Amino acid sequence: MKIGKLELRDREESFINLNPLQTGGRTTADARKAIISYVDGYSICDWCKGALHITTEPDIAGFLGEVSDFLGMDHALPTNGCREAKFGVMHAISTGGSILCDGNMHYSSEISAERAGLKIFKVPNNGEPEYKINPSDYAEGFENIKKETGKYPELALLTHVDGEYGNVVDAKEVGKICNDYSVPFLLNTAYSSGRMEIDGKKIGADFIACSGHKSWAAGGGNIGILAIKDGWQEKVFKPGTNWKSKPIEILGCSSRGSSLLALMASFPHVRERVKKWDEEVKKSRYLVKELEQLDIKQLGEKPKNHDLIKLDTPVFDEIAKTHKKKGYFLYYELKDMGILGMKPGRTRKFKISTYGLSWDQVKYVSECFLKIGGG
Amino acid sequence: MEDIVERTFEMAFFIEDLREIWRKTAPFHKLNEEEKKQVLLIINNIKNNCDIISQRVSK
Repeated sequence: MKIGKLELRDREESFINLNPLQTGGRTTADARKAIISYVDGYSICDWCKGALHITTEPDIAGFLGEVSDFLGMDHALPTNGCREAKFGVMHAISTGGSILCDGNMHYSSEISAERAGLKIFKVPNNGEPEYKINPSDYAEGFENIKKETGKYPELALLTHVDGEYGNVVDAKEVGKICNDYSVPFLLNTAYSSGRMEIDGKKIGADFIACSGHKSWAAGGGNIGILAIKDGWQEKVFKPGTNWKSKPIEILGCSSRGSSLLALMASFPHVRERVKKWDEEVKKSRYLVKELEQLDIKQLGEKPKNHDLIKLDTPVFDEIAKTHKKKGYFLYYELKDMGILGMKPGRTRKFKISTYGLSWDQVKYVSECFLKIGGG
Repeated sequence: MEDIVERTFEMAFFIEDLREIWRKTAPFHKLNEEEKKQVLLIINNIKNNCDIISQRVSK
């Protein structure tokens, strides 16, 4: 079926989608209803009060208050995505000093820091096979930066859950070190908030960046959240000189469309689903345990504490050597079984996610991999 | 909101509820009794709205 020249996308309805980038942003029916209703350009601005974040019809202002509470923070703004939230903080803080980031950070964190004129230092992971970030290495990192530049960094960034291995870092430990050093702490929760409970106050975060389309069941475009602790409003939510209702760092109004409504419509579901996070972790651990019956090794921390699973799969690589479809055999065999989300051509190392799948679906996925691998 | 417009949106929303069931039961859509009931109810609601709109525009 086509929409003009566009292919209809039915992979959520017709397949089990394992793409880690997409599983947490799979929309709820309510989100899609909101998108249908608010799909037109600037539809969110019917009752504009001068800026997006103070709009009360629809009640964006009230929603942002609820989101702040949900994250254990004090204030929040909608952003065009998580990267825009991170960049907003970096740009507001930067005086051309340095930033300490984890070595597993997303590329957009590094690019944001570069754009904000910050010199980037990294806390390395501990290498194969777990690639873990050790929170206490932040203290060592601060001291190294002081030795090299004469000053502690202007900001520290931690990727709470990285997008490569799905490792969950002890953010509270990093927060404590940052607070001890009086270094502002930015927590990137693109793969955590919206999936699991996050309490910024307990963590000691000054700023939390969230991705609506990655982990809050929002779609219809890009949408993020920047939540901050009291005391940072004047710097990070500073308005324009001649535009007193327009925060500079989000260029006044950020996401001016249906994606913000989708985020709002999904929020009641998100608030409930984070309470079931333990069950999501169980599914992920189950799949790993099943797949490791074959010549497959899970990379990243063990046992898993997240749904994003990185696998090293010599068993499939071996089959690809003699299969007529070469490295593409795995993608096509899974597709024939009703499973998508794998990158075509990958057989040695790849990432999958079990987030939001039912137990029946997880068990079926396991059976399919085992069948293809000869288990 | 005019009735036919409201019913048009309502049908679009029922379709989203139906999509949700296909998503939860992918890839084989083997429905349990409860899901079967839900699907039939959704279809019935859409049919009712179609009938009302048909009657309205045929006048």
